[in-house]
Amino acid sequence: MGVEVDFEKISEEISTSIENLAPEKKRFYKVTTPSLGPSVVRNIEAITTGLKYVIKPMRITIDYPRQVLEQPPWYRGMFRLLENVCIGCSLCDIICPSDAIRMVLNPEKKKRPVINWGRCIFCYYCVDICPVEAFDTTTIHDMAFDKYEDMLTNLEEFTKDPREKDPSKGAMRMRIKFDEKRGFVYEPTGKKNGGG
Amino acid sequence: MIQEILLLKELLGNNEMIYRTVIGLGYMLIYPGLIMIVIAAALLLWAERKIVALVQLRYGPLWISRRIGGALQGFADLIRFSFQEVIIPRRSDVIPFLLSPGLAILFSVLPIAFMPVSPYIKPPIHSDIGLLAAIAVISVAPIFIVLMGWASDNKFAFVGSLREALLIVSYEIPFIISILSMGVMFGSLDFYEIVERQSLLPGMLLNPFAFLASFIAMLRVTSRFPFEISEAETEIVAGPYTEYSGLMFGLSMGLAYIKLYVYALMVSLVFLGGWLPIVSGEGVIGGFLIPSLIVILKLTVVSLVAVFLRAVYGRYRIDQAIRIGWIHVFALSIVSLVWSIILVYGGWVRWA
Amino acid sequence: MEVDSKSISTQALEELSKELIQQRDLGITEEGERLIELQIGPTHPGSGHMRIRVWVDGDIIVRCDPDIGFVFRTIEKLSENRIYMKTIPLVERPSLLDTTPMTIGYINALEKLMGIEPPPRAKYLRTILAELTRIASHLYGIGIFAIFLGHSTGFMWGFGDRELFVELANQLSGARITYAYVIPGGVRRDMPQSFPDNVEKALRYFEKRLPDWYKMFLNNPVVEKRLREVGILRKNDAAKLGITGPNLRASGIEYDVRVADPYEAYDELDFMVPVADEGDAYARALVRFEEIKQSINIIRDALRKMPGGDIIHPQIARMFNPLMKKIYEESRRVKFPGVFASLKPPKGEATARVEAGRGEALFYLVSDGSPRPYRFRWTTPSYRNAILFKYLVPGHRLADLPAIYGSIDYFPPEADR
Ligand code: SF4
Ligand code: SF4
Repeated sequence: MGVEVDFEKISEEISTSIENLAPEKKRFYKVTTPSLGPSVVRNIEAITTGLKYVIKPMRITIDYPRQVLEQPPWYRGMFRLLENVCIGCSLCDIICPSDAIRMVLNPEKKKRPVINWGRCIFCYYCVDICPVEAFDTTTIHDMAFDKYEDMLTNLEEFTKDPREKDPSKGAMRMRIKFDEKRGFVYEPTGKKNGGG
Repeated sequence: MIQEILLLKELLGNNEMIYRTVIGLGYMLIYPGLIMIVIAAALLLWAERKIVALVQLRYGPLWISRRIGGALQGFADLIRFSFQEVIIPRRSDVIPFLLSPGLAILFSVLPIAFMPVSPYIKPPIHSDIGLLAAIAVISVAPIFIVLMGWASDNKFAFVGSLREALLIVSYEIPFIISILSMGVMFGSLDFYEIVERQSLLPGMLLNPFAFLASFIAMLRVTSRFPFEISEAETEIVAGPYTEYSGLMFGLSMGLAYIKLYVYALMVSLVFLGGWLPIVSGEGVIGGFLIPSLIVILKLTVVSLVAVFLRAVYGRYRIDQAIRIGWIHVFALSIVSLVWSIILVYGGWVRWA
Repeated sequence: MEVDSKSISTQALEELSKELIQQRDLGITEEGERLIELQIGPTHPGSGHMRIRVWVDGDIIVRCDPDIGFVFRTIEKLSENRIYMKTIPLVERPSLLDTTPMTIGYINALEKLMGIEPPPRAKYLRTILAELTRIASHLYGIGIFAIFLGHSTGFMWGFGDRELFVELANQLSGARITYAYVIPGGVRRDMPQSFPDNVEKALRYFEKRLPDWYKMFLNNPVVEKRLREVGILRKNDAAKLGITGPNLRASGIEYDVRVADPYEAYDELDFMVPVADEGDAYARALVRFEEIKQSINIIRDALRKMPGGDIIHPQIARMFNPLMKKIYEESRRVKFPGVFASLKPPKGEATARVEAGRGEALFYLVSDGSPRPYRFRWTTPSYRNAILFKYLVPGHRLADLPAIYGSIDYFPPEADR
């Protein structure tokens, strides 16, 4: 009741104590909001900048799906199981962060993983933990499924090469090339995307 | 072709009344009236998206009619809109809700009746106060936009239509003043005389202040950036059009482009000399087709500049826009009026 | 205390608005009838996954209540039921634009528990990826900010130029956004041979584009008018409300975790941190642009000083089987030893903090010696900045709400976790 609290002073103290937490003062510099020139000039500048791009267009998008991007080989896309390499250790099942992998028994009563593409987040933990490299990886990531059931694979489907069903078959493959003038440009790799 | 039209006249029994009715209907419904306006609005929409896409490092519409760069996109949108369901909110005031988009479009198209596009075929109503009449008619349209928001019974629509009302008042007045100052300068409100009197210098150079003021006001009245405030998507969804769907939405969104067409036509007649290098042609080709092509060309340039600004600007806050309207644009229009008066009374311009 | 309609210490205004709202609810007075309650969100084009309830008197906002929690995902609880490795992709999810700093924070806490420290090369690689994501995240924020102002070119440019950095990160890690690149004891891949070259090209290009950015966006008179003197956050208020990140620095407080408590390679790198005094929306945008420039410096410097050597802690490398060792030596790709499926850090607790794109994030991890964390606590910068809506917005016009929203770069999923 009636206790005068000097909020200004308290918050002043807080802010100085926060600043003291950052000991290296020399690491900070002030940006001052610039006093900008007359707005007429700046209007014209903005419009000419816009016009520059109309006259010299600089597209950075590609004409998907007629052109598709070729990802680097280490890009994390869909993968398949090499059934006879797998030793059935279940490590992939244990580490999968989204529980996409489930172990099933194959006809020889050995444990083998199957995947639910609906859950997979392409983190490749399973690929990386597999002690025998039993996964064959691709860079395909833009597969579409009609039904939810299609995303659940059985052993037979999981061992099939996803490249056979590559949705961008026949599209022109483009590769990203970094470039000083344009950021990056897309170079056709010359290959048509023919399933691999 | 002139023979054909003359033939038409004969076919109709040489009856001046019927002939004028047919020409008038054609003028209002086909060219430069309704059908032309729909085509122009659709193409303008496409051109806007294409130009803006260029600035924004992308392709823009492409999939529909690939060969011509997706130019049919606007028509495809129109067709899509017309087959979508129109939802009428239960709490809306149904009759004004349904009627106001149509009425707004009607009043945006009507000024065409006063505006010529060629020396040979006269507009249906050829009056010596055509300029004034055209402005008067088109100023009615915003009322229906306000009505749209009011009838929808939606808070966002309501806020949007209030904004529209406020802004229209503060920009229509500078527009009218600056256009009329051209009337003062040319000593006439008849479009034909106005165009004729620009044969030496276009109105844009005679009175640059009026051109600037009316161009800025035109941007606002047709809801272009940076004055696209009444529809501000991130604040009030779609402003007055929030509750509209299907064809009604298509109409209300097309409204801005229809208005842009009409205003750009007016600007190109008054400031850019209309069909000018050609003074008075002979026959249908020389007197109608070529001059109207020239008008269309000028109109296109004006409206492309207007739509290009979308790529450059964001939108103003409403109080800033109103302040700019009443201080800068209004002052500019007064300056243009004074400039006209000086020109006329100083004897710098003299009309026969 | 001064009563200024734009200051946040407008208790009088708040009292008044409370009174008015009560009256409105009772429907008694004339003034009560004046207020309109607008629900902005969660299905509103300008709100993202949150609801903002605003009360407007005419066009002036008298009260604004951020209503967060629409995308709450119980991340902290979820992580208590999973092995440690599984939480790495999980902490990436909420702040999807800003993934690496978050994983770094979590892994740092985990590494402190396990008592290991990554080799220097791994630290540098982590830092580079973190700065790449910081730039990408700022560009995203600026893009969203621009579209809030109706400036569609800023939006497209933000996303377009972000692509550059996302693509660079892809070259480094093999994914475009959810890298999951940082693992306990190191990183998952070494950088490819062409990487420094590509980075240099991309940075040069972006530096050339910055003047266009300024001309088109920051210096643009319309944008400037919308931002100057809007949403002013005073230094004292920023401290009092516990704001973090660029928002704090735009109010003039010199605080940055990268400087105050350097993690990874930050203490060896040469960079500066921008601070502005004004505290308005314009200063916040400006500070973000400056930070992008500084991040460019950091990346350059890190590539220059990049030490050689391992990218994974020897203790983990020792557990590789022959195949793994071969892969690691040939393609510099780290395979996980089986122990990753059941990491059991000794009993104890650890905290780590990082400077994420939007501000300081704090990680607190308690282990009871089992393969699952006993408790995982995580405060995100957006959560701490959410309070700003309540204090910055009242007194402004409705059209300023998106401007303020954009300027504090608030990201609802990150706040909700
Ligand atoms: S990539 Fe990740 S989410 Fe997908 S199956 Fe493997 S571990 Fe599970
Ligand atoms: S980790 Fe590899 S070997 Fe083990 S079950 Fe999975 S696929 Fe088979």
